[in-house]
Amino acid sequence: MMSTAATADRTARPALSRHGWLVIAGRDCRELWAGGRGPVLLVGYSVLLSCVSYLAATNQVLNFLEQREAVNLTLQVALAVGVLVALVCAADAISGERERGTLEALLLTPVSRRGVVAGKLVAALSLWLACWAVSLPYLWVLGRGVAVVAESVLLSLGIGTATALGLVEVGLLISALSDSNRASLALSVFVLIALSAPTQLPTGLANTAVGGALIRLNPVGSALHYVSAVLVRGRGASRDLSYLAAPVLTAVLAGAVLLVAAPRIVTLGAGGRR
Amino acid sequence: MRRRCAAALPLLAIALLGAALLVVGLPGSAPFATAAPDPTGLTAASTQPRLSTSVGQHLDYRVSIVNDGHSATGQLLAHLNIASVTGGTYVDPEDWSAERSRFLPALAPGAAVALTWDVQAVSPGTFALYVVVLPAGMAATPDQRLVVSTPTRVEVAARRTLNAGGALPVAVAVPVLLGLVALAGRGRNRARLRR
Amino acid sequence: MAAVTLEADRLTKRFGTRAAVDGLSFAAGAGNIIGLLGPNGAGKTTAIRMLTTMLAPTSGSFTVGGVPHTDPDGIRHRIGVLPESAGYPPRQSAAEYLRFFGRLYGLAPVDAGRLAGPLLAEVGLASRAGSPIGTFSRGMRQRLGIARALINDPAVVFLDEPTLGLDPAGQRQVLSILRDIAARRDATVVLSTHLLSEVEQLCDRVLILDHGRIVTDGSVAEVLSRTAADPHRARLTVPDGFGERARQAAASVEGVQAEFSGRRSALVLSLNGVAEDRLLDLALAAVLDAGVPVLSFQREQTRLADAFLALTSALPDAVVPGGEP
Ligand SMILES: Nc1ncnc2c1ncn2[C@@H]1O[C@H](COP(=O)(O)OP(=O)(O)OP(=O)(O)O)[C@@H](O)[C@H]1O
Ligand SMILES: [Mg+2]
Repeated sequence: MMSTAATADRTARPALSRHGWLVIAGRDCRELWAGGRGPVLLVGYSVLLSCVSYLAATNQVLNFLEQREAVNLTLQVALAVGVLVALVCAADAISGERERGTLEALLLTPVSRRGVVAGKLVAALSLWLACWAVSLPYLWVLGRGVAVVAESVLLSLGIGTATALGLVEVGLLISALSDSNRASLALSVFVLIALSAPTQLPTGLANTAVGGALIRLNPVGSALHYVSAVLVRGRGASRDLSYLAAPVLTAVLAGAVLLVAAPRIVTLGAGGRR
Repeated sequence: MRRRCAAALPLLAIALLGAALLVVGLPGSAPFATAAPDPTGLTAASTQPRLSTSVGQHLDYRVSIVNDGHSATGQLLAHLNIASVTGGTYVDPEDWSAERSRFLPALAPGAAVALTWDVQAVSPGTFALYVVVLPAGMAATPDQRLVVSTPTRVEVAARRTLNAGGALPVAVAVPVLLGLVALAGRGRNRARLRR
Repeated sequence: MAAVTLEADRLTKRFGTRAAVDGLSFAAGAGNIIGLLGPNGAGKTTAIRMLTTMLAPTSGSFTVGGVPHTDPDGIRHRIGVLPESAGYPPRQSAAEYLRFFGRLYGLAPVDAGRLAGPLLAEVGLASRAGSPIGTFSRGMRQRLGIARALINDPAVVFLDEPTLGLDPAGQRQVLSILRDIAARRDATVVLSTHLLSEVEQLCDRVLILDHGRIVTDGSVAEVLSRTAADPHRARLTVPDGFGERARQAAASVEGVQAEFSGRRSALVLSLNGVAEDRLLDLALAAVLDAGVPVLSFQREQTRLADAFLALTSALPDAVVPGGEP
């Protein structure tokens, strides 16, 4: 009865679902955006950016530099919070499915573990890209008088995406290794707060050798530092490139770890405990 | 003409010029424009009498320091300064340039150095840029005189800058629009679940 | 037996020093329905998870449709699974859910969409294809899970306690779907359960697990005769004063034992050595024939756990607490 033409063949192995990651990415994006969670997060995000940019703009005696500072401040908040949102989304990806009991069905399909991870990665990154898009009008309205709109838009897209990619990968690793979803979320938020802390160092400390090294080691801190070096201090984009090492290395290393370890850690039990 | 070249070419040319001057032996002749020669023979001058730009732009301010005297100088410190010529504009030179002070090694008689400062125009108005050369290091003695370059006049055109009124529509519109989109999505989901 | 589709050889899984499954060996053919029986913590879920490639065995081996366990991808193409305590995305509709899984098995979107309708019809959910899963009852979700397990027309279908938490009508519905799967699709069905009644109705073959070991293995009749150490029983209550008459009447049926349970108006009828429930009916008839008014007559279903404890003389601590991983 059920031997319809569409039924996958029982004996011959069907074309391996090589596009499984796309199917998973599609479903997760739909769930994120049509399910309501993504839009609500974006509303919160835009309210935050509205507050920051309006407060920065109401300071009427802004001279040129202070206005660049305003752009920088808004961009820093947009970057840090956008990356945080993507990280939290990634932290929920695997441990959340495990907890809701939907992971086993997914793992039972012939889609590779790497495919599962790649699909989830795309969905989390879509959240960052949406945050970036929301930040555009703010950057435009703050930066148009002082010729930093294009600069800040490109900076946030390039550096933000690299940073978000690295942190999303870290979030996925945490999610795969965590016993519970709550543990995964808590650990991820802790990681991000720890990473944001050194950017709040007083400038005096930030200028010392130790402070500088600390900032350079930290993917979020150094990305933010680079952005303000270019935007506010007007340094050439190539001058402080060493600050981009941490975000880029994080993305590359975490990506490599995920690629290698995914088949072992994306399992029914946390972190390959079987 | 020769001087023009010296200003246009980098350090090597200046060194050659210095050497040529030494050979020809023109002590005390003013190398540039109007700066009165210092008794020690040290002069500082820019070849850019006028510069104009607009707020936010960067410009290169170039100064050449030449020892036309017969004796070597001690260590030197060249310090950039900026002042509003028309007054009324607050100027913080630190905003305009990140590294105002440059330390120079001792200059042999006839030797010259070219210095370039990256200056960012922070506020609109008319300003004067100039460099002060002063003795530096432990060997400096109080009776040595300062050498000041001729001022370079900088016209900075204003550009439209931010005001809160401009930011307000965006700050209001973006969350409202996103909120409407989110609400519409929610309504659709509810309807689907009720079905 | 039909062509062997599933074969396990000394399959063992250890968690630390404890063996959750210990030396499981069996074979099954197309169209067979195999029941995995056992109390909580017996190792049913662990066994199914190994056979479905979710857990790596500590030792031993198995093949599914001729594919060795060292090729989990190949096995996943040939099996369908209803996992224990599966979750479902509440906002997706049943059809969307099946389409999604069809695509994960490499079907084109159109083919995956075309597959959803007949599958939902097969499990009796055709009319709810467009409803979000969040609005489904437990039984409907369970049937949707079965439909998902069939999406790749599997050679072997595994179901971990498919009737858990369903009412009797729901249980019957699921069991008849499983019977259909084995008969019409010619698939091997492996299900785990606590309930002997379920196995009696459905399975060709029973494996009773305890502490990860097979304690009994065979057809339902064979296993029942072996577990008859704990006979099928019925409870009978009669008005005061009729007790002795009822006891004598019931005991007059050969193979039936009648004993008072506490009060002299309550009797327990049990079968002695023969697993024929019909005898209990004869005993009831004898009691009625003797003119005893029967207040109540209630069959006790032989719960596997009871039979099991009797069979294996397991100690109380053997029913391992906290059986879930
Ligand atoms: N991930 C795990 N880590 C450690 N022990 C485990 C794990 N999974 C199962 N066990 C142990 O293995 C044994 C068998 O468990 P299993 O879940 O297979 O039993 P079961 O027969 O399915 O029980 P139930 O009827 O309660 O579902 C139990 O003692 C359990 O504690
Ligand atoms: Mg179980």
